[in-house]
Amino acid sequence: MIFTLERTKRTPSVELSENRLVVRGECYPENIAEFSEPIIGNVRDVLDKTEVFEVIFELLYFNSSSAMFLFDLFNMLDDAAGGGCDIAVRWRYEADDDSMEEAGADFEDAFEHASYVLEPRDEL
Amino acid sequence: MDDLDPDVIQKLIADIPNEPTRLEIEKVFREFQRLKKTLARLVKHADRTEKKLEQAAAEAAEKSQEVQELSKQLAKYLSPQIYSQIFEGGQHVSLSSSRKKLTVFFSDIVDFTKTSDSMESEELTTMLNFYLTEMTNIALEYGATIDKYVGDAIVIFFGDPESLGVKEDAIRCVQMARAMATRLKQISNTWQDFGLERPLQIRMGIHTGYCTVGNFGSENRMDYTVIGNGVNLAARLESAAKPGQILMSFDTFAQVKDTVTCVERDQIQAKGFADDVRTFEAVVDEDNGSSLPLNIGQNQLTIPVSVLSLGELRAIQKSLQIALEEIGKNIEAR
Repeated sequence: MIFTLERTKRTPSVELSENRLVVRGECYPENIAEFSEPIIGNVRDVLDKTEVFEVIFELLYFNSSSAMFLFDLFNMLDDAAGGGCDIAVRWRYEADDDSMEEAGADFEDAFEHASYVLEPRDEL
Repeated sequence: MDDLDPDVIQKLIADIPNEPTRLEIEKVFREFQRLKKTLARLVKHADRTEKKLEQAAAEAAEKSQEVQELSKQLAKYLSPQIYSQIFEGGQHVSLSSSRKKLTVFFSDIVDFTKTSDSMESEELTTMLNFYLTEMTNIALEYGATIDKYVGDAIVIFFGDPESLGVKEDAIRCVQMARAMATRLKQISNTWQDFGLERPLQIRMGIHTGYCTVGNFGSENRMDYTVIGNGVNLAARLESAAKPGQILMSFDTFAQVKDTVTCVERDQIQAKGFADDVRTFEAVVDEDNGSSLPLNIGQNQLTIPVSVLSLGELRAIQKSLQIALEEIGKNIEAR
């Protein structure tokens, strides 16, 4: 594992390896820069080296400043996909969570080059 | 969104030659389009969050209303003091108790079983609820803690969870009992409407003493109540009282004697108590007729003539006649 963060009440768990990033939980950190900068930095480093990369989001809630962080991450991923990296993004949401489903649908058009899949789950 | 940083934008602009190439213009345009999209998504996200918050606020308000309605219903089953202690967080709801000097009051309706046997259930319910409502309103007015209703009987105590001191608690209790007796006289004509031939009469017993007060029962079902010898004595005094009488122990009398007119009555043999118990009656109609000041031992009593029986009045008259004759003879001899 290259980089990990423990899940807290306000922040999701983050697991970053050579070929995969998994983000699980709720995201409304007190300081979004403090939370997001190491993730963005480490993902950028990984994308520079890998040819295949999978991203899994299992979020239950995120606030507006976290949305900004997600857009930054998505842009970086899509740029990498445009540059030839095979990137698959999976947006998983609880089947009865309309809010996360709608957010996932909105994010879809952020990707021109990477593949993006919406995946409902019974429980996250 | 480093791209939004003015320094970065400035650098991008600086990097463009005086005559930008088509590719460079396209790059800036793409960045602009991406930012525009991001902004639109953010606004959408904010709108959705706002909508969700409004929905959550509406649900919370609805739940809060439901809880308020439920607690209003629950309040009817609890004494107001106990209700506020629990709901304002002052009293932890657990199986615990403490020993305190309380004034305990018992009352019941004279011949209620006989009366209720001859009444239809609906009439009986209406009549009993009317009676209990009238008495409860008075009790609450005097700051009583209503322990429980047992059929027609009412158990009340003063001194927990709020106390104004042992003396004031006892005075309030006796004054409450007098107000109840007065109210019953005021509504004596009402009972005919319920089909009763004669007005309702009640017995009242009061004792001031140490009791154990708190929550008793199990963790699943508990009652806030009082137990102990003091409670039993109040119940015995109530049983021994005559219809319409407020009978109290010496311990209560000692607390109220300077405030409430009392008459000592016969001692009673109370079950569970080794010694006979001195009893005192609280006079209800003090203003009704003249009063006799009497010194008996160290007790100074003011007895309204109206509370004395014919036999007692005759005995006093005889004593006074003898005394007057003795005084006359002494005066003549001098």
